[in-house]
Amino acid sequence: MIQLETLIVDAGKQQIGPVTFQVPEGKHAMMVGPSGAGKTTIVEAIAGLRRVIRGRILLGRVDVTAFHPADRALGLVPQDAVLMPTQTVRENLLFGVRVSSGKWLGWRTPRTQRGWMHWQERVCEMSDQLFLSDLLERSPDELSGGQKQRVALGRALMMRPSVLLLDEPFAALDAAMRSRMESLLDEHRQRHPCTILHISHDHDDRGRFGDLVIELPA
Amino acid sequence: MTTSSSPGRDESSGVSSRPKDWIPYLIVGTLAGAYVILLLAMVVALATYTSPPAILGVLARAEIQASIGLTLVSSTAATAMAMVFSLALAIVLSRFEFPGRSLLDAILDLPHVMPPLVLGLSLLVLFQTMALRPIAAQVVYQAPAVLLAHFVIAVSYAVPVLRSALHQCDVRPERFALTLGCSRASAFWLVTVPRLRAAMVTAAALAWARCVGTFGPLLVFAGAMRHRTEVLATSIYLELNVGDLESAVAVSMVLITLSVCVLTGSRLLGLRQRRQGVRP
Repeated sequence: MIQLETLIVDAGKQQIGPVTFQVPEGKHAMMVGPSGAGKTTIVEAIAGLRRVIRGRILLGRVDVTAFHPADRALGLVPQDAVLMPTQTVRENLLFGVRVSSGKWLGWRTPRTQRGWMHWQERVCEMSDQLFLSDLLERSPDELSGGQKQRVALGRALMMRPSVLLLDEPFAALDAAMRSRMESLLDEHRQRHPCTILHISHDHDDRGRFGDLVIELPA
Repeated sequence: MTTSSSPGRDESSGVSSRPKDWIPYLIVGTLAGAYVILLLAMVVALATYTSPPAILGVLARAEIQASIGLTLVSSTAATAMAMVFSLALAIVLSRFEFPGRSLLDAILDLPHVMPPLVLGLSLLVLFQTMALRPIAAQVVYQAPAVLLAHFVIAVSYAVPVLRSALHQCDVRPERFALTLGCSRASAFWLVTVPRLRAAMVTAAALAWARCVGTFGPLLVFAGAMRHRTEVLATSIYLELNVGDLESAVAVSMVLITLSVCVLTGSRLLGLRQRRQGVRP
């Protein structure tokens, strides 16, 4: 569950809010609103990347308003992918795993060899689903906008988070790829139940995608 | 398939050009070429003044070997220390807004704008103050004075390179890494440090080369004593003082060769990292 209670967020020179809404456990909510309404700011606040001036953020039933972003255990797919520029697609997909193994000083040191093999298999499986198998050793510079977005989606799904925040994750994809990614997201949700908050500019998404719509005022 | 160059085509950018567009290229090329020729002429003049046997003869002398040893050890140690301090200063200057940031920036530029002798004099006078006078005998005109002077010079050259590189680094990947489980320290280490590698190599090479060539501050603060505080730059001065121009030139060639090797190595390393995609 994602619950915002009269949330006011610092957005630099202005404030966004107060915003109150709830996405029930396991549901897929579409957040829509005009440009500048603060959709991205709200998603970043939920992820812990924006300062909350007032109000509360609850994930599950836990108040995470004061939590460090790393302690919120959620997946975020930002609008422009934001891949790690010096790492390959494979390393980007494994970034969260490597960090969570607690051995970030030794980049190439997995917790155990067996555990590492398991994660490599997950990377293969994920890259197949995202049509990235041939791009695993490429750097982000060598990818198109759509490929970057798929890597960002894969990176978030790899950790199987219970809360997933998607900021226009399909904006750079063509219609066919977009449809495949939507199916992948649905399949993932069936296999690994999670609550999704999904920003979209596409008005068609409202009806055919997601369980409920959250509309932000201008 | 190969492509052939066609007239009226700017090969570097693929932009079509007009017939008289070569004039600016000619001016730029002439100016750049003239300066490079001047530099090469200076080095060639030095190189032809001496000979390999003369250089080997100078290298065989015990005081020159000690001088090379102290130069290498002090420059390398000072550069290593300077990189740690410079990275911290670069982070403070590029990541934080605070009152007096411009003043701090100006203070860090002091070693650049101070005449080298004044820099040495400042260090000398600093060790005459009440707080540092008890340790002055162990530092001034001793090997630690060489290290300290090298350190001040190295930091002043490394900070601008690292600050500029850090300033160009997009902070979003580092910020985003927090949502993937990173602490601030691990995000900086995993995301930003790899992007700074090329700049760190450049900064270290530049700082090291400046240390090797530093003379003025050392003469005032560390002196020029054989086997104690003599470095390559002071060796040249000492050889000139006794009127041995050929030895001075031979030591200069050793110094130039060392610096060119390090700078070329760092450029090649930087190029390799850029090819591997390590960039801000």
